[in-house]
Amino acid sequence: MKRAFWIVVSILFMTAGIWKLTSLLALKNAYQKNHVFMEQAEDFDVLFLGTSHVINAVFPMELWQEYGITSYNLAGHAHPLPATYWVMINALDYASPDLVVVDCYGLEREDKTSGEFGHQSFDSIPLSGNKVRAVFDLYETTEERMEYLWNFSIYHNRWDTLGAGDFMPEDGVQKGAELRNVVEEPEITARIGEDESCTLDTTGTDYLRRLIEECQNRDISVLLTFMPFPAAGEDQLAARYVRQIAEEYGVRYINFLDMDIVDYEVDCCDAQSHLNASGARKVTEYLGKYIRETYHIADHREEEAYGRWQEDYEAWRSYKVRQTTGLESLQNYLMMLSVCDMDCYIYIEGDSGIWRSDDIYVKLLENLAGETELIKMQAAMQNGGAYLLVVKQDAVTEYAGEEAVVWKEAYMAKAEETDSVSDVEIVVMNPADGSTVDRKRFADRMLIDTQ
Amino acid sequence: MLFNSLQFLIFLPVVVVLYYLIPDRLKNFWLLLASYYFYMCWNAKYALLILFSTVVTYASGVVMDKIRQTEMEASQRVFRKKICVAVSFVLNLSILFFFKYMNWGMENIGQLLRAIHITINVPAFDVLLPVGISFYTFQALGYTVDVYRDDIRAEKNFFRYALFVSFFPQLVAGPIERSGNLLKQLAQPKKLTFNNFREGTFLMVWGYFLKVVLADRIALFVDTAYGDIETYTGVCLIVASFLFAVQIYCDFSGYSVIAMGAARILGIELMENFNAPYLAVSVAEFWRRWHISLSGWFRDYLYIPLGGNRKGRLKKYLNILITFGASGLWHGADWTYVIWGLLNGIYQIIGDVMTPVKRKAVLVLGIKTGSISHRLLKTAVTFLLVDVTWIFFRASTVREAFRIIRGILTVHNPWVWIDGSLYTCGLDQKNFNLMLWGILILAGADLCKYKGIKLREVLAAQDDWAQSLVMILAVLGILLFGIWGVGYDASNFIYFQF
Repeated sequence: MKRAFWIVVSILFMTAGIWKLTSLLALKNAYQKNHVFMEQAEDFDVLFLGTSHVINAVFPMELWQEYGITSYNLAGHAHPLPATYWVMINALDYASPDLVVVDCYGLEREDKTSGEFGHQSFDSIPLSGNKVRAVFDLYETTEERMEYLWNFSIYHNRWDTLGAGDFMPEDGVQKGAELRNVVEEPEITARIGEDESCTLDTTGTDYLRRLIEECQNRDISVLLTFMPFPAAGEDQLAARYVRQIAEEYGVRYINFLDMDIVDYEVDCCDAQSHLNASGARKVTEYLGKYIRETYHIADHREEEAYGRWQEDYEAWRSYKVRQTTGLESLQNYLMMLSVCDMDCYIYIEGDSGIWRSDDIYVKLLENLAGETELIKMQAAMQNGGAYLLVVKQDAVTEYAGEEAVVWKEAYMAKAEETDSVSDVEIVVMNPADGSTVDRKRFADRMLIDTQ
Repeated sequence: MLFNSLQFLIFLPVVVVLYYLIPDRLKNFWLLLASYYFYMCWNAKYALLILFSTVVTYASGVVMDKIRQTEMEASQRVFRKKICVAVSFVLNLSILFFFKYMNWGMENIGQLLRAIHITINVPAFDVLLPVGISFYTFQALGYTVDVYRDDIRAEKNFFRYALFVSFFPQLVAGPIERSGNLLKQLAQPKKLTFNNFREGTFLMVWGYFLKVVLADRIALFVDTAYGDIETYTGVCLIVASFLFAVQIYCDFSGYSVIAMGAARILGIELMENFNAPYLAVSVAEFWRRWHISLSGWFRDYLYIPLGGNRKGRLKKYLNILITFGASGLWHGADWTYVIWGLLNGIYQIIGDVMTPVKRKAVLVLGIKTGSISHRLLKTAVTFLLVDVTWIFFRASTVREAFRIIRGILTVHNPWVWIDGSLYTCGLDQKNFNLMLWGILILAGADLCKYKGIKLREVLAAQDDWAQSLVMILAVLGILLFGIWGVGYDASNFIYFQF
């Protein structure tokens, strides 16, 4: 009896030890992706699903700030629709959304998994019947299934790379999204003809249908999307076919490929055409407005129970500022200024090289100014005079030539004396209290100092 | 099915639980079924080879037993029994030869003919070497000889005998059991006891530590160094050669210990296969401590029948060379193994020849033979000699072995210890240090064994909580620091290929 007791105790402690080691050794990107979702699952009225196109394009915290929509970005890198389907099924074990937004990129795919990226979505989901079903449906080999049901089998050898973040992991502040603070021009592709179309019958379409049916069975509205990127011909065809499926099920569909919401020259972050923060801001803004106007999704901003969302928003805003102030490239910095909710003063010397380099900087300044047309900038470019652009939350003002020099001294406190000569100087201020958040000087488009 | 696979970790508990639940008369049938399943997981068709070997050696035993009971002249009886032994040996060794040595033999004949300018097209047979064929064949042949010598009575129960040949814990990599030990135990159905369960579990955990924490970690270094001997030279090769000696020990003894543990849980006590071999003070002693079941087999069924040391010094030396040459060939069909075996034999002959010189030197120099320093020196020299032979064992060709030796002797780069380049050879510094800690634990355990301290008994004498704590930490340590899981090529135990 005594021995049986000790055997049972040993097994219990061994199990507890393995459980603890499993969570300690797991990569924390899954924790950061989903931990907040698991903690606040009942809050979310809208879930976003899809691939990295969605991860980089939809900022739930902006939807909260602008529309009071509580949403979570559950999209996974490289997820084909079967993986998206199972992410949703598992999410519905915890959340009760009113609307599921599903991006249909990859509709033509026959595969079910996204390789190692699947871990980010599935690792932090507790073991359950739906998780087991997902793993057995998505993965074929015993090794793969074991890898997803007990990820200790792949992470146990991380013992030699453990850091403080593994022992005290931090929650993500982006509600599942991933902000990209880089500008890179993608390869632009040609648009296909207006009358071209196709019919698809793939694993992707099967699972999209299953997903819609599942939502409709649960009285959850579905919005299909095809996020903007310079799509190849087959993607454009797939995007058109989605409309047929949407009509078949009576659900709404937004094909961003047919719209001019984003400017690919300033709104992408890599050659694979993912959106950067500027592009995401535009898509999020459009989606927020569309959802507000089309669905009955509650605005929770005034509700006491959602008080922590405002705290979360402040954390998100700080995160955006950190992502901005850490930059060293002028073009990335200019792009991020358009999303970080700060007032900024941009002074450009008359002989600055950015006027001559290419027009990306002009586009970035225009992007920063939003709908305001920058008339004096054109004059400064042509005449070679100084230029000052002031972008505040409620107004955009520009000065050229002598007045730019005068107003620069009025607006921008003098920088500390240094030996280096800059051609672009930028001051970022907090609109709430007027304090200086960041001050950077650039020469030849690269950072020379931060004060 | 590998011992370090998920399948085995499911298979063993199922076998054990059912073994103790079913009636006694069915226990051996169940183990036989499980053993054949275990083997057939690797290659179902090759189970027929085990069956053939089982039938032949079983029949030889039964026939010899009949001869023993028949009234006839002793010389006639011996003659007939010898025919039985010969038939058993020829049939079994023919299969072994076909699968293991045919291609190598043909290749050598082809090379020989080409050397005398005769060009013929030597055929090559596309056959897969059956896992563990050398082990079960030798075990079955040992039984034939035991019956011939009247050391044991022939086993009448075919199924029990079939289980003796195919008992899954030691089927594919030994220990090569003696009929006198294993058959006797299989005759008695076992009851579950806490002691057997505890001892078996301890043994298995220790075996897994040796295999997945040490052997497979060391393999990362050794495979990298030996896989690119142009880049990794000098000290890197010295370290790799030193580590290979540890790797093969951990790998093989790890398997043996897991086999002993699994058998022990089933109530069967298998023989010890290793007894702190690297603490031996002579090559002869090393061979009394290394792969004991095979060394014993060659001693009892080859060396002694050849005359052993009873027919003069020259014949003794010849017998040593034959025995170790055969042992080399048993390990693999390649000249590297033959040279490895012969080198071990030559060491022993030189050791024997030099004995008077050594005695004289001890007297003249006043060496204290009982001192620790003297023993340490002898242990180090023995290890060094054995380690040189391992280079031939590990190399894929004789030429490569000599290139490795040249790389060790001609390149001097001690700075690799200091500038960190040693840690680019398959193991980073943290893993290298972990490996050294593991080797230290192994050395401590072997020292205890050498001194006659049985750690299992020491542990068993502790309070239950302490035993539990050790077991929990050991299992967690193996899971954490072991080389296993997805992305890990569950490398076969090295001795599977033999």
